Amino acid sequence: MDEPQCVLCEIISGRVPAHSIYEDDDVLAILDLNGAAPGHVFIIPKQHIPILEQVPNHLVGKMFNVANNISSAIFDTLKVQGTNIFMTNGVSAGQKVAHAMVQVIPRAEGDGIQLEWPPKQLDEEEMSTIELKLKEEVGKIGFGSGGGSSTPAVAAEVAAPVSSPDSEIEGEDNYLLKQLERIP
Amino acid sequence: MAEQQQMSQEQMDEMQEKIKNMSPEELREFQKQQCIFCHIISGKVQSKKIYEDDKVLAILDINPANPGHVLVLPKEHYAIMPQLSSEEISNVFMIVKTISNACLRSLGVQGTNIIVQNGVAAGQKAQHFMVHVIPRQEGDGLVFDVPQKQMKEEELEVVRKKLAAHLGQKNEVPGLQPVQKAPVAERQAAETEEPDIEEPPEIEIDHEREIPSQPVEEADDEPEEEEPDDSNEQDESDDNEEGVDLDDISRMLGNG
Repeated sequence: MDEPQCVLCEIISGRVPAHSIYEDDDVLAILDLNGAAPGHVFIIPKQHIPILEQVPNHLVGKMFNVANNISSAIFDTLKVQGTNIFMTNGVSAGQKVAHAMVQVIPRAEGDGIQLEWPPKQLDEEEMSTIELKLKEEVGKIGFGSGGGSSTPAVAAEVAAPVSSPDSEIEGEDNYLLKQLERIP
Repeated sequence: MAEQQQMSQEQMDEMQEKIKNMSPEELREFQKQQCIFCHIISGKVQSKKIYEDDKVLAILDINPANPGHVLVLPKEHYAIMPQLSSEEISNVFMIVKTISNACLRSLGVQGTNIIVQNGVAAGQKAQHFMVHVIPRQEGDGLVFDVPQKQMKEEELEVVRKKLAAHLGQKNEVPGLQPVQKAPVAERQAAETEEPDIEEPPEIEIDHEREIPSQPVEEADDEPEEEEPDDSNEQDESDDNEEGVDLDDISRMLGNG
């Protein structure tokens, strides 16, 4: 549960103080000390779970329900014009800490936060290929209990904090994990 | 939408009037008719479907941020996230997780971003709640920038108290329960709150001024929710601060 070196685990255990706004048995929501706007909150599972794919489904639901409640609370109390609920999953997506988190970011016109994208145009063939690949993969993964069940190799690796030999590792999730482990 | 593109001012006014007099049910039905995603869900408009069940549809975005950009939509027409029940939210995000996982495994990408846009200022472009799953790779050219700012301790504390109080936490551990069985009144209130989203920028987020040093107890005085509004007028008052619905609907009608 308590991963040494994980700053968020230090916060969860209370060894590092934080501005908590919500807490229950499973999740903790705290204000970001270096937020993009007042009321920038992140929601983390209390258990040390590095990436989304390892978070059990019920906990995924809870994290995003808490995010929704916090978003509503931000609308009601901070008079913002919008909120983003944002998750970075993997280093190339901007994940900075090896502890899954959902962010709620208050928004206002011209606030300097950039979470939009230029639309791309793909040709029909490329779209169809992606469609098939994703559809097939979703079918394979299914919607079991989630978390470890669909990613046994990853779960095993996480359970054993000692880094296991790379040969045993396969799949993209592990790539994510390895990258994250390199984060100081 | 198209056939209504060339409306005269008179017709516009007429339409506005009509919308104003609609019951919430009628308004919702009207929104559905105008909603491209509802047409996709009903099959009237074609899409590339990645996943579908009774409640949720996941499709490829036709103008993706990156290849494999998926939109996860509840089939029910909800304009904003607070209108979804907690079960619906759990269900949608369970599917989001699976799709993110599928992107990682089948598209050779190294990460995903999951984004919800609540309100126009947050980038919301459609009147149908959705979650974006965007595959990411090093050097893919996408730039999401959430700048870090140094928050002042006092400011953090004021914000913390407000939010914690609103979430029902009195500095200790609350439950998620109040939300899970959100009473009807609360949901209605959530609906009537919609207009907040597109509120014109009367308040600028200014870190020096945004949160005046208000007395701490203030947070507790905050009314929990607005009263459920049983009239059909929502907030589309005439003071040109139209509510979300009307504003968007009229824009759609006006501009096609």
